[in-house]
Amino acid sequence: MFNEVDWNLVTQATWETVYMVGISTFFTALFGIPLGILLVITDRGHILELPWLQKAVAAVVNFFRAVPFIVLVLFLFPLAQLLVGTSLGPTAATIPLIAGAAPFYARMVETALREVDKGVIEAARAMGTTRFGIVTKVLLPESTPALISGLTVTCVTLISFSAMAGVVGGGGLGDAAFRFGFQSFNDGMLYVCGLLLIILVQIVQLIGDFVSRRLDKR
Amino acid sequence: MIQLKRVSKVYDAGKNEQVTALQDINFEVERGEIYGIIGRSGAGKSTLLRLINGLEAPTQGSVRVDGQEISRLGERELREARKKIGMIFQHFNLLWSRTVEDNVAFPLEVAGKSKAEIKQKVGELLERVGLANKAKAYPAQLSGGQKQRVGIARALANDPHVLLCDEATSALDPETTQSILRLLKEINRDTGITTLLITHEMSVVEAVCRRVAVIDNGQIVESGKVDEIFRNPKQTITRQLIRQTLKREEEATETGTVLRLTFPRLSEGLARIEEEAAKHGVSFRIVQAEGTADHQHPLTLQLTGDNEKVQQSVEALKQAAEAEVKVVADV
Repeated sequence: MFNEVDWNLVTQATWETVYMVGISTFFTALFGIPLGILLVITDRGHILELPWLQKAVAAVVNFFRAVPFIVLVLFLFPLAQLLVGTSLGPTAATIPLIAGAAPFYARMVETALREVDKGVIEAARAMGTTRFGIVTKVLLPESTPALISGLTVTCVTLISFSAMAGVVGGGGLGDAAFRFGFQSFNDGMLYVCGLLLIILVQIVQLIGDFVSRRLDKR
Repeated sequence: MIQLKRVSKVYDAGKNEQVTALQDINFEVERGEIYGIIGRSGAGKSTLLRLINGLEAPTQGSVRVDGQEISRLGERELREARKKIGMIFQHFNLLWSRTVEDNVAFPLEVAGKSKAEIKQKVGELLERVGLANKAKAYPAQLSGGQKQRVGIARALANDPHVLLCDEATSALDPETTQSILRLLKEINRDTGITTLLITHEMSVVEAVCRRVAVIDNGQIVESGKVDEIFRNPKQTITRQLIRQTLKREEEATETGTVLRLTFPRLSEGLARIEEEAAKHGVSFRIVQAEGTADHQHPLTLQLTGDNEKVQQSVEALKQAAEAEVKVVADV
């Protein structure tokens, strides 16, 4: 069964997936964390009470979370042309991936930050800490383990999303499994690609759990 | 040093509903004194404390600290003012992600001190609260008393003029409470820091405060020198608070007679107690011993043994002690 596997293709597809997921995880964190912070601190009774902004950000986040990912992919591949100069391949796929995952992660960041002890925030305020200081010295460090485990979950979701995005032109293991495995009646190819996706998920989960546990001093 | 005049605080609680948390509060804390505010939970004492560092703004009235009208300060000025007002909390409120030394360094970082300055100051502070050997530990590795010591070191980092204590010993066991109160007293003596503490425990007030205000339903119902209030409580609530403290002492003891007495000199008193106990063949245990600001030493004593003999000892001790003797409980 495995003698029909094109290992060059598999290697290339693996790297494409790692690349897609890596880039989109990075940007998901980059957009998701500030969005999550905004969702928390602009809420009533928090350090930057701006209810209208809170509602606006929440609405945008909910919108992107409500749209099925496959619809995001179809809609946003054309946008990729504008942003990264191509609407095909792994780089283009990162655009819908980020758009799908960043709002998802923003909600996880929100949950993590809300878990931070109110008393500690009060103590920081009582010491004359600025709002910026409260975010960077209290909210983020105190929620780092939860932020990491949230990012781990998001990254795993991105791996499965990337397989879906791959099928409509993004490349990677999902694409390889579909085109060279499923559609070409090459079971070996299908299983190898599937197995590699599972291994990737395991690696990400292991690293995420390890880092999160190491940073948790509670 | 701290001056509240006609202060009230009203919260909006939904549509057209208002809750009065504080009403017409007037008091003054002198420079260098330890002042207590006592009340049951929900009496408004936490809100009152938070007015002083501007965590809450008064609805009416004036809050002055060190000559500054706190409620009139802009955001930046308020932040500066807060650096000179330390605060410690019932649940310590340390950052679990930072080590002990980094927790103490926090307010210094906020104040923009240099690395070298921070290092030196943190060392001094940890030395002061007796935790120099725990510098690299995380809060999760500390006992409650040690956590509060870190809280105290942190509160003192920017050499504040005022220290606010929010139920600082309420989460601690009686012995740890005594050691923390001792530390607060020492710091007050050494630095002359004006200390305002709120509590629901009369024993805390008795142990460290010179003056006290009793707060009930958002109003100060009684205030004055601690020993006078103790000797002659005018309000029902005050009597209740005193009784509650004594009751807790009583609960700590299962059998015998619990009495509370004050000797002008502790050593003499102890000698007398021992003498009387030996004479009547009863055993005794000291439930609690405190030093108060006026150098009196109230003792809570538990006598066990033959009922009649115990009564005889109590009578004898009543004669020996100059101050009053209160029989708290016959068990």
